[in-house]
Parts: sequence; C-alpha cells; structure tokens
Amino acid sequence: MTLNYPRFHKQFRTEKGKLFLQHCSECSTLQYPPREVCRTCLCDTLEWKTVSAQGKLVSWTVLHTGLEPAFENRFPWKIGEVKLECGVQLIVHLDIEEPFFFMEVSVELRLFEETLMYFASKHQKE
Amino acid sequence: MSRQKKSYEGIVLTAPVTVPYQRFSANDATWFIGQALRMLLGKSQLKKTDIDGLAVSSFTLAPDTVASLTEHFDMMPRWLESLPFGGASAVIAAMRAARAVQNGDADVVACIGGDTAQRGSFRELAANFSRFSRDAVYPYGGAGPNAIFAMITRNYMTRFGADAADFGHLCVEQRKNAAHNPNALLRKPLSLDDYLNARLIAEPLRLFDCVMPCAGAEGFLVMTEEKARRLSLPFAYLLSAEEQHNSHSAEELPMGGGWRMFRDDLYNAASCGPEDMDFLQTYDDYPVMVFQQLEDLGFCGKGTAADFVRSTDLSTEGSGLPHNTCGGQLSVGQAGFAGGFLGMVEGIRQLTRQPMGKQVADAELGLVSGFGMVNYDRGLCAAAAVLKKGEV
Repeated sequence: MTLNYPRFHKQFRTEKGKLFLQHCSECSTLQYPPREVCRTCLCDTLEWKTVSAQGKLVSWTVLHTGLEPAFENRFPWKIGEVKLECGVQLIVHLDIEEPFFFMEVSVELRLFEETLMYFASKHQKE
Repeated sequence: MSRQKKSYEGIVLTAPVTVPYQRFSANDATWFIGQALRMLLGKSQLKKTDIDGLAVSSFTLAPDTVASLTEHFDMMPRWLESLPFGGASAVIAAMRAARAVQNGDADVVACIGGDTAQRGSFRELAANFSRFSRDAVYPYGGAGPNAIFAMITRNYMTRFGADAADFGHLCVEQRKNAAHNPNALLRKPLSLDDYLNARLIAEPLRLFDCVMPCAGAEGFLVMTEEKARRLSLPFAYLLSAEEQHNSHSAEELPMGGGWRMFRDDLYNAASCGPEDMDFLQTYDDYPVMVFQQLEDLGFCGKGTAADFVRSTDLSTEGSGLPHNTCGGQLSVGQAGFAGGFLGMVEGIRQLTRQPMGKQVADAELGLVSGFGMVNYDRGLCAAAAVLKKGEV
C-alpha cells in the first residue's frame, strides 16, 4: 500500500502544527489530492507550501468492512473528511473517540503500514 | 440561465435487452457485451452489418476498448463511442447516439453497458479507479465508494433530519418491485427490520444500502423513428436529455449531483414537468442519492424526500410514482457500468410494453436519471432524460 508516487514526496515532510500542500506559484491556489497542474490556472509550476494543520471535521464514517487487506484486523475503523483552515479538504484516518460535526481537529502525518498518512485528532488548545 | 439546444426529434430508442445477471462470472466483459449485441440483433432482426455505430460503457473491459471490440465481434462500424461515465453512461450514450443519427454519422447505434464480476477483482478495480482514488481515498480504507457515500449520507441525515428508517423504507419498497423481476438477484421480500438489523458496512450505511456488485449487460438501439417503424419495432422518443459534470466543487460535501443545474432545461424541452411522469427510474447506488434525485429533479422540495417516499406509493401498481420499476440496482444488482443502463433500459421496456418486472399501466411518459464517477469525495457525472411512448 506504499505511496511511491513522486508527486507525494514533498507532501510527506513534517513540521509540527503544519502540513505541506501543493501551491500554485502563479495564482496561489492550494490543492489536494496532488495534481500535475494547478486546478485553477493550469500552470505546472507547483510548489509545496506549509499551511495550518487545523481544521474542522465535515463528516466521518466507521468502516466495518473493506477491500484492502491492511485493514482486515482493524475494523471498526474511523475515517473522516477534514476541511483545513485554508479551505482544502482531506480524507483522513480519525484518532477520535467520539467525532461530531464541525469538531475542531488537527491533522498530522503518522506512519501507517509503512506509509505516512494523514490522521486527525481533537485539536488541543495550547 | 436557460439554454436552448437542438431537440432530439425524429430519433427513437428501441430494442431493450438484458443479459441475465450473475453474482460472479468466469467470462470476461467481452462475453457480456457480445451477448447483449447478439440479443439486440435478435430482437431487431437486423444484421450485424446494419449496426454502423457502437457505443459501449464498461468498467471491466480493460485492456480492451470499444475499438478492439469491433474485432472481437467482427464488425465494421463507421462510428464508435466509449462512455466512461459510470451511472450516467446510458443517458449520455443515448444523447451521443441520437446526435450521430441526426447528423448522419450513423444509421443504427447499439448502446451497450456490460461488465463481468470475478471473485476478488473488485479490490483491484477500486484501488486503481482513478489517480485521486488511488492516492487519497483507497489508502484510507475507503471500500470502493462506500465510505464516501457513508459520509454524504451522514451529512444528509443531520442536515435534513432523515433517519435510517427513511432510507430503509425506500429499500423495502424497491424490493417489492423486484419480486416480479426474474433477473433480480435479490427478490426475497425485505422487511424494515431486516434492513435495520443488517450488518453495518460503513456507518451509517448498512448492508442493504449498498448495491451488490455482479456481472451482466444491458443494451438498446438508437435509430430514426422512420427506421423503427419500418422494422415494426416498438420505440420510445427521447423528448429531452441533459448532462452536467463536476457541478458541486464549491460545497464541503455536496447535497446534489448536478440535476438542479439542468432541471428547468430538461422539462422545458420536453414541455412537461415532474408531475406528468408515469414513472421514475433513478440511479440508486445508495438511497441517499435517490433522495437527492427526487429533490433535485423536482419531485419534492430540498430536504423533503423522506416525507415524500413515506407518503407516495412507489410501487408499479400504485397511483403514486412508480419508481425503479424493476427493483433498481439495490435489488437487481450492479453489473458495473451496466448499472447505469438499468434504469434507461427499464424505462424503454416500460414504454414499449416489455418490462422485466410489472408493467406500469398506461405508462406514456417517464424520467430516467443517472449519476456516476466518484473520483475523490463526490460523484462527478449527472444526467437525465425524459422518454415518451412511441406512437405506433
């Protein structure tokens, strides 16, 4: 299940409280999932920019079955969709006991099955 | 904004065929598509050389394409079309084929949706469905589209106050229609308790919210009205049809598929409204999408589909709105992209008096809706068509 695609490499840099997202050098659009060109102006000079890792939970589900063998012994497994403060939406694993709508969450990269993936947890105010 | 486009006048849809569904098959997609083509020839009494256009939608045809199919089937068409639009493919196939015939690019177009289902093959297909799906959905355990529609369903329930029993009611009613359809893989009566007590798949979705993947094919022919008359084939008019793609990119989790954007154009071109429909065939990959089609195609107001399905007789025999008259995918099974053809073919069947299930008495006018292609977190393709019984 390892993500080996070149366009992902910089996405997987880590910095506390920050995420790296594709950013268009011409029109400043931020986007996810990674693309070859900017979704807005179609320019191909995309950079990686740090954005706040905070957002709100816009929905979630608890998976009880699936197709990928890596999850077989993990059900029930929670995943959700987070809208980051910058407006970009990520599908993430949830490390949250009781999710609720518009819950404030922080997203970080964690190693899962030898792959860095997004996990959201309840945002802890500093 | 209202747009005027050329009508589909003079073009008809005819010869609806269905290759019986199987839970799994050792045959590949070319077998199912080939059988559909054979049935189209049988039903129309046309020769293979008379079919000069071929439009195919298939999820499991790779590494082959509609071009290589011409060699599989030894055909020499002068017009080919491929429709990778999932559940919107059949409506769009009819639109493309109708224009080709209107313009003289083809005389008779065979439109076919066909797929196989082999044990274990669904995982590979889901994992590689698209770049976004491969990179950003599948690794999170999203089992095909279940996880995405679970999230859409949860949002719909919270926003509009619908509950599991509302969706269950729809599934139970559709199953009643399936009882009359020998091709439905799920014909056993379903009670609300059965629905509510079924195992959870992706909360809040339970087993009977999810279609059963299977193998099968559906097809129909597109030709001029004059030709259909000459061949003595009962037919349906394509009164109007619309498609719309990636319509809700600005919404957090969309409450629609795109139908709202073309609804007025669709009805205006057909000179009718939702109240005139003798039946409705929606794309029922998940009950929440049926609710959204009922709302966005104007059968009820936004957020009121739960009340609508509870207060309206959806059966083929009632005086309400016969809906998914053959049982829909939730009962018949989802034969890959042929799932998008199910409603269209059943619509043509109803209007030409050859239904798979029960005939809707005096059906003259019907609406067929399609929806497809979950790429990241939402479906991208919406389409709908108004069909009218041919005056033979």
